[in-house]
Amino acid sequence: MELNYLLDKWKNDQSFMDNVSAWISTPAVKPRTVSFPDNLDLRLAKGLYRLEIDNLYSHQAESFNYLHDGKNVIIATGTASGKTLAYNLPILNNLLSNSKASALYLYPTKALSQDQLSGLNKLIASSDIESIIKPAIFDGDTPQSHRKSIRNTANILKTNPDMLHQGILPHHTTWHRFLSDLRFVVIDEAHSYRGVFGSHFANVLRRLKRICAFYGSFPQFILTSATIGNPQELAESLIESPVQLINQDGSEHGEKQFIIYNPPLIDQQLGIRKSAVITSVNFSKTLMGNSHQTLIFARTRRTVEMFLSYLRDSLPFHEREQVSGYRSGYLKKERREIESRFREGELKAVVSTSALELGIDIGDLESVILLGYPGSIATCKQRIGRAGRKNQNSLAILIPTPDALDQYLANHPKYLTENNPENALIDPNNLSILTQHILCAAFELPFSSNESFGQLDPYLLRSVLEFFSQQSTLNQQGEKFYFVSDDYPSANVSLRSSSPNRITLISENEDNKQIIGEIDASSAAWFVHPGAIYLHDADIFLVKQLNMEKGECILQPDNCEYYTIPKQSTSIEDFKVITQEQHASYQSNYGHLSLKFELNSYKKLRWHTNELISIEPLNMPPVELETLGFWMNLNQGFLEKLKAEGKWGAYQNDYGPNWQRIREKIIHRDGNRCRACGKSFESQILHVHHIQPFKSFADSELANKASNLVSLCPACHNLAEINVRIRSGLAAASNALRNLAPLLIMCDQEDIGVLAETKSVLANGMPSILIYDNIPGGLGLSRKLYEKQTFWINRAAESIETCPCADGCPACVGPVGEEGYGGKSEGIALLRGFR
Amino acid sequence: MSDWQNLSDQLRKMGVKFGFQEDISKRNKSWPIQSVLEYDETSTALGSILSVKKRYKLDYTQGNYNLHPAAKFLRLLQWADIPGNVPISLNNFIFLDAETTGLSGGTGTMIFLLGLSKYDDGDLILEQFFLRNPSEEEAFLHVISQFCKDMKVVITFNGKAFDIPILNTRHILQRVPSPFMDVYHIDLLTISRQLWKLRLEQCRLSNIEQHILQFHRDGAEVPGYLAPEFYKDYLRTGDARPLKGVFYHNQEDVVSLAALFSHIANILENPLDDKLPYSHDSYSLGRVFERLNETDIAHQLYQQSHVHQDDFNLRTRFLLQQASLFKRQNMYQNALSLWEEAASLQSITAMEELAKYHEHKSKHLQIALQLTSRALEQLKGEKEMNLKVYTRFENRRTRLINKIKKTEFKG
Repeated sequence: MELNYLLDKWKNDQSFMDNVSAWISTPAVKPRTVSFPDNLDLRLAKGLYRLEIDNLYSHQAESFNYLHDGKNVIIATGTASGKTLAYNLPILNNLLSNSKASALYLYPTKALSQDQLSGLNKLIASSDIESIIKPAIFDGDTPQSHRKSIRNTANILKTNPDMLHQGILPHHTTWHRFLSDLRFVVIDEAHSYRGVFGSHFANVLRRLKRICAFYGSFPQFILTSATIGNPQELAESLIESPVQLINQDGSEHGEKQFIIYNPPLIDQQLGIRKSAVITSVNFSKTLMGNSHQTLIFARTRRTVEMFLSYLRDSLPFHEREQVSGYRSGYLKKERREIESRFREGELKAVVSTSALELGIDIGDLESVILLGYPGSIATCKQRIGRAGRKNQNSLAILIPTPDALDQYLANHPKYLTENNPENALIDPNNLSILTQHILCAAFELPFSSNESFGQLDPYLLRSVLEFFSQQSTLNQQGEKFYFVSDDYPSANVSLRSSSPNRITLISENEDNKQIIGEIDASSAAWFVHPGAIYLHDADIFLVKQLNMEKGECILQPDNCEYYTIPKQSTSIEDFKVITQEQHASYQSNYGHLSLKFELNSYKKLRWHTNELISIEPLNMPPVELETLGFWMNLNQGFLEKLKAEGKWGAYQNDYGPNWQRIREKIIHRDGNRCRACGKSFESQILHVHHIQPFKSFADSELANKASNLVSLCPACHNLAEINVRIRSGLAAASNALRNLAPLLIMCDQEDIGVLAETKSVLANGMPSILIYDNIPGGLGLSRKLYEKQTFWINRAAESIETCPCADGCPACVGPVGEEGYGGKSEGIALLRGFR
Repeated sequence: MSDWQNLSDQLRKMGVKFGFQEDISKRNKSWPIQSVLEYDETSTALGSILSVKKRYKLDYTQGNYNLHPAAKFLRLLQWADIPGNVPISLNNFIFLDAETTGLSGGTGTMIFLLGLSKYDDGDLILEQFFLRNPSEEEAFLHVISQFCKDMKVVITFNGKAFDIPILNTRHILQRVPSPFMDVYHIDLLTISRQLWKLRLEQCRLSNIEQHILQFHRDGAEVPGYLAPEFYKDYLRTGDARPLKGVFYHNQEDVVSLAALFSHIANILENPLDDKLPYSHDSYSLGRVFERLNETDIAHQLYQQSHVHQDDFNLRTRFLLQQASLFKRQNMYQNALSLWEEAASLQSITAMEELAKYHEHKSKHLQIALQLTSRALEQLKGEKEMNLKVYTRFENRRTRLINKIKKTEFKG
């Protein structure tokens, strides 16, 4: 059935449309074109004609002209808009008139494929300029025998940040021909350079620019990016120079349909929905059955496997081979085969993790299914953008999971279709990251003390250099600092972790042992404590052992039905305010924090339903964190108002008058023994627990009747409270805030921490909500939230308000757990009260 | 508290560890290099450079060999692909060995001691240039270029992979043209491997010194891998005493280079003079001559090698090598007897060559078949490990049987 007929059929099906939370039709867009610029080399013009291109899209011409004027540009025009030609053309144009000039192309992926060269090669071939332009790929797979000739002849070099950092810069003298007249640096997918990776990369660029300056070259930068909220800010932070933003897309697009289909709720209380996997499988079957080729994106390899088995099981035998999986674990040969079979139309459906990246050519796609929100709006848009054909309709379907942000976006799809609020943030001057690169830079060229390193404060640079020479890693002679160690510093710097202290992750099963990666020592306890379920590259592992001294963590591939979240208690050891703002109902502060974390237990939660299975004990040494954060202190007036409205919730101190005396009486009645386990305890250790929750009574006297009270030791109290305690507004609000933070800042859930306290040292004993960067030294994440706090708080309030649950669920205020249930109205009252 | 100490605290709090903490009081200037060695100072416009000079008479011996240069070294130059029309005399050779601050070879690796020697006025002079601190590098490179002003050929041990690239890198970093960029280079490691690897297995300079030159270093010797560490310590503490051993090590490296150079040149000029006591050496030398296309000498050496080799495996190898040279030269009759001897030692390769020959050249198909069957019989037990060869023989047998049938039929 034609796609349009299928769409109509759906539109007329009420039970289908009941679950559609959004259906956005985008009409076809005609291109805005411009004729070739006057200064375009004739050979390139001919080459373009031969490729059946006789004019440029407006943004391609814009890019051409800005670059001709010597500017830096960032092209943020969306998927399939011809960004590649927007930089290849001006670069080739320039290189044709300068025989010694060169260009460097940087891609964020470790393994570069020939596909990324193919567009360029086609243009070079059709323009007949193969004798002048010599592109080459230089990455870990480049055979030694080719490397010498690449160094001697290539004038366009394609590589990745890791190779640049370890393979090229520390050996720059062997590249002096290439670097002596480097005119352009292309940074593709610039939005990938955020967080820790981006901060490292910005420093690698500082080193590159420094070495180029040594050889007398000052390249222009061309960045491309998916649509994010702050492309220009990101670009300028990365290259520390002004950048022109190009974001008006002049390319043509066919008609598109974007459907968000939210599987219906099965259990409102627990927020459980019908399986997103099964829903996706059903969609695939329907599309396949109507001969529409589909690409399905899943978040983990496990989901890919599950999807494949469900889909294949439901198909007749001969159709099963028309379906294939795809992930980075497959051999190169296998992947090439899948890509080409898909292009040729032999495969009707491919389900993939993020491995099927944009650079890879699989032809024009008719339909794309996103099984779960991929974690960032930018990625979501890129994947949706994969579906699109010039003269026909195309379809993208997002099937959200019950996770909070998935559900929020399902209900507020404008963030997926209109301006993306997400900000990609970096902090190149994070001390831990910066110092590692200063050392690498000193290895590359000695430092003079009056030199600069990018836009780093020269005073700070000097302090770092002196620090290193005190350590005898650098040798100071007069005003110069020389590297004289026998180390090779870049070998010890991983661009993906924030400190040089790392734990090696080793995967062990019966047959073999394999190093799969590394993790920062500072976050090891959180991610890979013994018993943790750890996700690496979309594969799932169970942690068997963590040895901090040895720097090793042993894991085992696993396929269990749960995931884990550790429970940590956070204490604020010290803080220092940098800036502060007084608002009507609260005070917001931004500053330095010294935190201490103790991990004492972890939760096991079922995949997809997020149901709590059990809580296991943990015995990890405390972890300290020096970082930056922002906290909101409630004013007295605000607190009083909430209490008066009955929205302050059940806190231990608010069990009514005489609580202390009542408590002592009950403990005495129970003989200082826990009523559950029977052991005796000191009276200050015992808790007194309401059998029927305090909040469910209208009257505190009734709630506190002796028959409703019982003495319990802390452990038993915890277990009892799990399903009974009522969540406070503070807990509800902080959950919602944490869930919505990625809307503003592109980060993983674990990159920020949220701590809400009823009596906080940050607020002189008043209630406070703290948000901090979970990375030593901070990375600007909570800073951005501080800057956009109003937007953030309002979105969090919205997420609770618009949630269809009765009194709070995992999608808004959090799963039922030891924080209790409910808390919906309290959470809203608190969040809406911040003004 | 000074700024770097603040930084140090901050970094420590972030859990970041670098290097090690330094006790500044350890710095003492009481043992500068000048007090440790007899030195010379060369002044330049860029500053003065310290060096240690020595002059060796040519009858000085390094083990069993003296420093008299070889009377001729044309074959060695030819081996090194140095064109014959380039006039080269004794004073155009430079022997070079470097001690560096590390082994990575990247831009942060510096040369702190460069030992250079050349023939001068009937002697061999050695000069070791020393970098007292990194700021002297520009002057350092300048005086080195001065010493090498007549250089046309540089001789090193593993210099192609190590010393020369680092030297060139230093010049680029100092923005000075490098005299070593386009110079002819004889890397004695390469030829040593070709001559002695079969016998010695390990061809490190220390091994070559001991076994070929029969030279043993004295107690002052410091192994090369410790040099970077001693230099780093010297920069930190100012105590140059441990460097004395590094100078000795470097000096002996360079002198051994000169002795080895002459010795190898002599071997190449007079390959048949001494009956080499080891047949491995005859074979290896034969291969060198085969590569030089001097086949007569190669044959004589090969002949020496297999006649005097008792080990069956080695003898087979030597026989086959010579046979394949005869084959290349189309001298099948000579090859035949060698193959037959190797076949009698169970060599499958020899049997295959003989079978090929008899099938296609002599057309004695029955002999070819016999050989083929014999080979198949021998391979029977280890078929899997030699599947390709086995299959080839099987195919040959089938083919031969068919050919024989045809000729019988024609009758």
